[in-house]
Parts: sequence; structure tokens; C-alpha cells
Amino acid sequence: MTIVVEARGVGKQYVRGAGQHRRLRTLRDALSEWAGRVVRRKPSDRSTVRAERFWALKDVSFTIEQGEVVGIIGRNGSGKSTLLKIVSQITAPTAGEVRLHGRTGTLLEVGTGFHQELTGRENVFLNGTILGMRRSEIAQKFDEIVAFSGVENFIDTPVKRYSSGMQMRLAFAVAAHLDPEILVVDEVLAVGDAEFQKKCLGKMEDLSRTGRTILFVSHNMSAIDRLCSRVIWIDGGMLIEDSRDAYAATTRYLFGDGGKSTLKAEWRPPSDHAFETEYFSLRWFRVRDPEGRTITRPIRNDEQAFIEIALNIKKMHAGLEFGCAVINEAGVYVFMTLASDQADANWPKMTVGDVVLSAAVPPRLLNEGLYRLDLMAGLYGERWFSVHFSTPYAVFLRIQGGMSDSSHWRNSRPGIVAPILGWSGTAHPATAGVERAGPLR
Amino acid sequence: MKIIKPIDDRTLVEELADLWRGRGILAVLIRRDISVRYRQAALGVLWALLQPIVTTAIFTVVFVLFIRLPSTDVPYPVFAFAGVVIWQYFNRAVSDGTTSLVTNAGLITKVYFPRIVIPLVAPCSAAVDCLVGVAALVGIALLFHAQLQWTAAFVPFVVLFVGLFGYAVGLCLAPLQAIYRDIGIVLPFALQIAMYLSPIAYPASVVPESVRWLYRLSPIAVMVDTMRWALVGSEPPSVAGLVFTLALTALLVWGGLNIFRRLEGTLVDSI
Repeated sequence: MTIVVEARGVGKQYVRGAGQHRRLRTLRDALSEWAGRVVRRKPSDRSTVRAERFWALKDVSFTIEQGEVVGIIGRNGSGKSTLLKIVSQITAPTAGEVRLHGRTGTLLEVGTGFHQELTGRENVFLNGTILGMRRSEIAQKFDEIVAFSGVENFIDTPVKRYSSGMQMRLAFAVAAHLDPEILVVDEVLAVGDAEFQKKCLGKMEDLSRTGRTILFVSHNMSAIDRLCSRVIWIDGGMLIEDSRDAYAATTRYLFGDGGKSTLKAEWRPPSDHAFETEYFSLRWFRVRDPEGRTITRPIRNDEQAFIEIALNIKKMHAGLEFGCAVINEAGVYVFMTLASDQADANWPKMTVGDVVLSAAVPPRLLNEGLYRLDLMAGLYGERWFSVHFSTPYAVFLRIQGGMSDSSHWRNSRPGIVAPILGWSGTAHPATAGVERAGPLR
Repeated sequence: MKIIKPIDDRTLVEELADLWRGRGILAVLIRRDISVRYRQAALGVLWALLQPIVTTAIFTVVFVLFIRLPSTDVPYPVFAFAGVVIWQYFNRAVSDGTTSLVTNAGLITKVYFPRIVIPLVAPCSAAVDCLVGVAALVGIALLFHAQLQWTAAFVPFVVLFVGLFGYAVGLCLAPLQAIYRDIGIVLPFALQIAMYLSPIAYPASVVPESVRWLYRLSPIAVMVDTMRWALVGSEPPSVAGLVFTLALTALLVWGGLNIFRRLEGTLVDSI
């Protein structure tokens, strides 16, 4: 494979407070500083507003091969955008160097280089030229660009009358049709509706299939998982992780354990550390399919899964409670379920010895995404041995696809859960036999 | 292969190569500038004519009717119009050139292209207005029965020269304006003073002999005089002034390219 991007010890230093901020640094400050230097005296008090230097990016090195789709992840202010700005030549690094082998197309944020007074058509040509296309190339691809952006009807309207979503779509359309060898994309998915986001992801997939290299910053982890063959995780300006297992890396990033644990579907001592109390020891905790196999792959939303807690009960206690809390990627507590949720008569039997508790996760309940299941174990009314958010005993489940059997709504939908409710319809009450429950009459 | 490095130890040759590489973008930006300028203006390109005409009319009323300026060797409106056209071109090239990096901040913080083209856009797009003005100047000269000279063939070169000088000044000031906004505040004032001190509305002959050497060296005076000489055959500029202006232009272009080269890498961080 040929290497297309080589970053060696890239660093970028900014000055906080003075320096870059025009309000604080005036020509007067600069002149007095300069005068001070010439006279070889200490600079005047005004200019000694201590400029605090900090590294927005420090000693970042990596190489990217042709055709790789690299997701760059990290919290806000971690340095991802600075890295993209350096790679796309918008700002120069303070240290290190980046070698690029190929034409770079950049798409940073909304409305890249659009002029508000010009029409969509004029902006396509303007933007295309700025991004390095020849006029004939743009003309050749113009219809395709416009069709992709979906703003055909407004192509001769000044861009200032576009919504931000329309501008972004047009901007992305131009950048995607630019045929760059290296495409640098920052957070395009933040704008635009689900439909267009899907289109963007699809286009990026197409580009990567034709050997283009993509550097892609996003906070949308499912997009990163889907698209990226590799993840670079940056935090505090430093490279935390560079992994070709995007799924594992995004999971570690999301569940914030500093990259120590791996994504797991099963907790089973002795390979995992034991969970022993005076009442029980945990034999395993996992998510399994109906055939009893541990689910390690993503499952469809309509697939049947079971939560399984296997115990060795050493001493009975009337208040023994087991269950789990389900937490999604955003850290939202989706639901909690306990073995004693039902009427007392239906509680699972627990006796001294080996016990396997299991519960079916209702299909068609969880939305697409990654879930963490935190083991809950305790004595009712007394204490918890293991409780959500603080427990080390957690397994993961990923839901992907199978959102509906409808021909209309097959994609992931907004919302914490994605149940399919059984809608029914009735004809006009006067003309049809209304089926209603008795007490309503 | 492209290497992105911290310190821009690029040579001037590379900077000029960048300018050449960016010619397509330059053309597009110039076209954009021109089409945006008059897009929503009801009178459109007529503004390019109206401005020098109105200015000249006012100068004529004030200096000829009120002040009774000693008569110039060519009809006063022709004399003044030539000065105004050149001045307005220079004025726009410098002021728009200086603010160019800041006005295009949206572009340069989002996408890379050779930045060196940006300060060149204003002098080029303003040249169109200037040429419209020159055409009007020829009309006015004919109207006032001024004798057109064969040297009028040099007029495009005069315009080019004015544009180059304006570009050089803008090139020096644009990166500084991006960092210190003081420049943008002082510049209009400085330009206004320069206009009053230059023989735009009055001939250098009214200036006391003791300071007239300054007028002979002043690049603005030299440019205006060259224009008047080329078109209607008034007194030519002094050779010393011409040499000085050419040398100054070369110095400013060289200095401007160097300032630009030093600052362009981190420009985005300060804008």
C-alpha cells in the first residue's frame, strides 16, 4: 500500500490571552515591545500581559495509507480540528511536518468558501476552482453535483437565501465530486437531515471504495463505526489511540475507560476478575441469543436477545436482587430491569447452588446504537454490591438495523427507544362497526 | 508530494510560483468581486462613471468658480478628471487590498489555496472601474476640445503601473491588518490626507517652490502627471520622480512578498 499522509511529530502552539486575540494585542503593544527590544530594556508593562502558550496539538505522528477511511475522534477542544487544519494546509504547524501525496479536498464546517451574494451555480464554479478543479471539470460534473445536493430549484438563487442545510448540502456535493485523492471532512453530519446524512455517508463509502483516502472528524460514533476502517483518538492535543478496530476504539472512547478494557459481551471469571460476596459468586454475566451463544456481533433491533446472570449462591438471603441497567451511547439511562420486577409469585427461584437467571430483551425496543449493560446485584433494602455507573461488571450490546419491516421507515430513527406500536385504523364511526372495549361505551 | 512545515522558509520564487499556480482562483475571485460589486445596485456599472464625474464636477465648482485657481494647461475638468480616475483607482486598490485578507477570512480559514492571490484581487477588479473611467476621460477630453496625444497608447501601462503600486502597498498592509486592526482604522484617514497633499484637484504649480521637489518625487503625483501627460500632453513627470516611484514600487513588492511569506502560515490563527 502506498502512504498518502505522513505526520511526524506534528505540534501546534497557540497563545492564550494575548497574541492571537486582536482586542488584546494592538499595534501599540507590538511597537512598544519592539521599541523595548531595540533599546534593550525590559518590555513595557503593557506588553507583559503574559502570553500563555499552550499546545493545542503535541507530537502527533501517524501514517495513512491510500484508501483508508480514518475517523478522528475526541472531545470538543481536544485538537481534532487543529489537526485537520494543519493537514489541509489552512494553518502551519509549530513543530513537525506533514507530507501529503495527492490532491487534498477540504470541507471544514458549513458553507466552505461560499459567497453569500452569488447564486448556487456561481458558487459551485467558485468553490470548485478554489478546491482545485478546472472549469471544464466542474462544467462536466455540474449536473451531478446539483442533483446530489438536491437544491436544483434554487441553483440560480443567491446563496444568502439558502438555509444552512442547503448550503451544507451544496458544499458537500462540490467537495465530494472534486475527486480529491485525500478528502478532509469536519463534522458535516452535524447539519442536514437524516436523509442527507445517509447520502453523505454513502458518498464517502463510494469514494473510499475507489481508493480515495478520507479523514473524517465526527462526534457521531455510529457513523465513524460504519464508515471508518481506522480511528485516531485525540485528547488534550495528544494521540491517545490509533486503532484499526474502529468499533473497539469508539467504544473505549464513549465509555471513557481510557482504553483499558475491550468491548466485551460476556463477563466470566477467571479470565475476568471475580465477583465474590458472602452470599454469591458471579459465574458469568452476558447477553446471549436464543441458542445460548454469547452475542459478540451487532444484532438487529428485531432479533431476540437474552440477558443472562449466572450465579453460585452460597448463602440464601430473602432480599437477594439481580438485574441490570441499560445505558446508551449518550450515557442516557434507558431502563433498569430486575429479577424481582414481576409479581412476587413469579420471581425466579433462587436456592443455594448454581442458578442461571435470564430475561428476554424485547425485540423492537432498543434504537440503533451501542448499549452498556451494568450488572446490578444487592440485598433489597440493605445495600448494593454492584450498581449501575459505578460497577466494573458491564457488558455491551450493539443494535444495528432491522428497525422495521415497513417499506417506509427502515433507517435508524431519532429517539432513545424505537418500539413499533401496533397502529390500527377504523373507518368513519358512523359507517363502520366500531370495535371498542366495553367500559368505554 | 507536498510537505507542510512549521517555518516558512520558502523562497520568493516559490511565492511567485504559488501566484502562478493560483491564477485560476485569481480569475474566479476577480470575476466574483466584479459581479458582486454591482449586483444589487440599481445603477449597476454606472456607479463606476458617476463617482469620478460627480467628484470632478464638485472640484470644478469649488476650484474654478469659488477659488479661481490659475488656469491649467488643459481644460480644468479634463485635468481634474484624469487625477480623480487615477486617485480613485489607487485608493480602492490600497484600501480593498489591505482589508482583503480579513474580508476573505471565511474563505482562508476554511480552505487552502495560495493566499498570495488575495491582495491581488482588489487591484485587478478595480482596474475594470478604472478603465471605464479612462474611457469617460477620453470622452470628456474630446468634449472640452483637449488635444489627444499619440502617447495615449501608454494609458493602459499607466493604469497597470498604478495597479502595481497599489498592489505593493496592499501586499505590505494586508497581513498586518489581519493581525492589527489599527491599520484599517488609520488607513482611510491616511489616504484622505494623501489625496489633499497630492495634485489631484490642483496643479503642482500652485505649491510653493520650496516644497515642490516633494511633489516631483511623490509617487501619486508622478502617476497622476504621467496620466495627464500621456493623454492630453500636459507637462511630463520628472525623471527623478519616475525613477523614484519605480524603485519604490519594486521595493514595496519585494518587501510585501517577504512580509506575506513570513506571516501567511499562521495568518489564520490571528484573523
